[in-house]
Amino acid sequence: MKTSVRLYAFGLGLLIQGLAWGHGKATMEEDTCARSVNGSLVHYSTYQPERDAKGQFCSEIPYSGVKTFFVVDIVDKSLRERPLGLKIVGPDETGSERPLVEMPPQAHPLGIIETEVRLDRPGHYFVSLSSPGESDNLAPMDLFVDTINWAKVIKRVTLYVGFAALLAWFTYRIRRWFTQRNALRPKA
Amino acid sequence: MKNLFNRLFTIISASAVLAGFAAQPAFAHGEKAQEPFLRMRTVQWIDVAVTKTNLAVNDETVITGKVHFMTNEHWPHSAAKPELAFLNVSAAGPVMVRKASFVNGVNMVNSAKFDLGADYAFEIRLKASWPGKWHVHPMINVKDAGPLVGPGTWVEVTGSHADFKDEMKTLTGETVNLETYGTENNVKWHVIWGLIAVAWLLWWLAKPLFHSRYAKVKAELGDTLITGGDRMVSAVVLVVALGLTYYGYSAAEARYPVTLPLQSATATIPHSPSLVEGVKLVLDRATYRVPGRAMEMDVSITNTSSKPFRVGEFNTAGVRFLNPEVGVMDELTKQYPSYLLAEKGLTVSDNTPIQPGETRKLHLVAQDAAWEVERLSSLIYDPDSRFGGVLYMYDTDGKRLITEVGGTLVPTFAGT
Repeated sequence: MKTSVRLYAFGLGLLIQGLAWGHGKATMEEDTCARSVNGSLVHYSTYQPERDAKGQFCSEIPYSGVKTFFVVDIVDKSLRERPLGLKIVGPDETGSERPLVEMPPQAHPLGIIETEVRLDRPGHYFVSLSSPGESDNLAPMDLFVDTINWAKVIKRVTLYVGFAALLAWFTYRIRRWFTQRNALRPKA
Repeated sequence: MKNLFNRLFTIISASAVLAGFAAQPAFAHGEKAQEPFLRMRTVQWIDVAVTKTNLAVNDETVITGKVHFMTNEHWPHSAAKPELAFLNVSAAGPVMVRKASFVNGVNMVNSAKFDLGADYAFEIRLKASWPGKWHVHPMINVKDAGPLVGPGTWVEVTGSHADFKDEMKTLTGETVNLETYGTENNVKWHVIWGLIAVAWLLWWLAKPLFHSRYAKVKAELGDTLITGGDRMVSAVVLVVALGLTYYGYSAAEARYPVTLPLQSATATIPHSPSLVEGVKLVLDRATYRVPGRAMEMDVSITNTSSKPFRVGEFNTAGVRFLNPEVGVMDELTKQYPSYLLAEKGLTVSDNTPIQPGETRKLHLVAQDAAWEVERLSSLIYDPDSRFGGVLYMYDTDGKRLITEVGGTLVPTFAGT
């Protein structure tokens, strides 16, 4: 077998090992739903109990046209006394962006910003925080509602195809070993 | 040899890829990854304090506190009872050295039996070994249940590990540094045995391995696989191994004539006065409003003490929800890790004192982002979604009374 193929397999192995699958039981620092506000962390969560009672979503929200609960957990306590506002922007019937939620900045001593919104149309939405005297685009996150995040899909497909190719090669090698072994057997 | 290397590299590459797909999501920072029902319904850590959080290498610090083992009513059936448990410390490796630990004054060099419903005072003395910023937790390891981790405190250590000394005097009057004691001898014996093992392995690997040997066995020439040379080498290795073992044992006996075996006894801990007194509580209903990160409890509290009291705090899994109306912010609480302290987290429907003999129905709300940040809210999706914790009451003299609370937790999205 060629050294280049071995190196490819080894490199693929290292790449796969390094992929972060963190959410749920990952720490906040590793959580893909966490964002930074000047070095302090906030965490976004979305719920759609009418369609999925147990689901907790992040940037990919599976359903449109249902009641959606949007929660921001302020992880770093230093941020709780700072006035923070919440803005959610989404497409209207013409496809233009319009604000769906505009919560004015205020302190959140319990560390929770929550709102309820109806995301009527599938498509790309956008959520961000604002603070007086600072940008109104803090901790931005893209939301894909009832639609496909193609960048993520392509990455996943590449990974699975790579794994399948490696498995196929492995299978071929094992088959070849058995063939060679059988050839060595003395004929009865 | 090239063939062997190629094969090994192939196997390692394939294993690396397969292992990558089998890997679970990252479970960093242990206590958050542990199931919430274990953290909430086993032990409650009370009054945990660390004497020094900024120290140099070789400085000492002490973790003190109390631990309440939940009663059988709340202890999870899926977790082994603490028939045998050990007071330990959780940190990022051996960055601190445990010099001594005590529970109710008993030296905890051994494991001990702990009783459900009982309370214990603990003390752990640590010596700083490695510089850095370390998250240090008291911990109890329960046999067959696993570690029960307490609240963590950040400890900053300055200096150099090269200066670290862990000296002590043996019973025979010799002063030794435990950090380096026996290391040279250890390395020497590892090298000696390692060289013998590698030589033995290479003797066999240098020969043709699988295909040709398989062919010989199939041709009924298996007896010729072991040569006279193989037998000679095996005999030499056998004699050397036995001889070295005997020599090592004799040398150790001569060098260390007075030794004690590792102690396997268990300690017996006397009970301390119960922290749970003066209050009777019945939980009527408990819900968790998911978007609001709010646990709401309807409870009936009976004052069986001699003084009026008010509900001051709800403590679960090391997270403390304080009632700002009662306002108990003592020195211990001020030093408590801030990420686990919800200073305004507890709301009580009626803050007027409950009189001795009175039973009152109260609606309590424990609300804070800590439910999500500490990964406690995932309890509602567990097959065992019962919560546990302790409520603190404070009477008119400032005395604290504690009671357990726990039961089924129902998730809800109503009432934004």
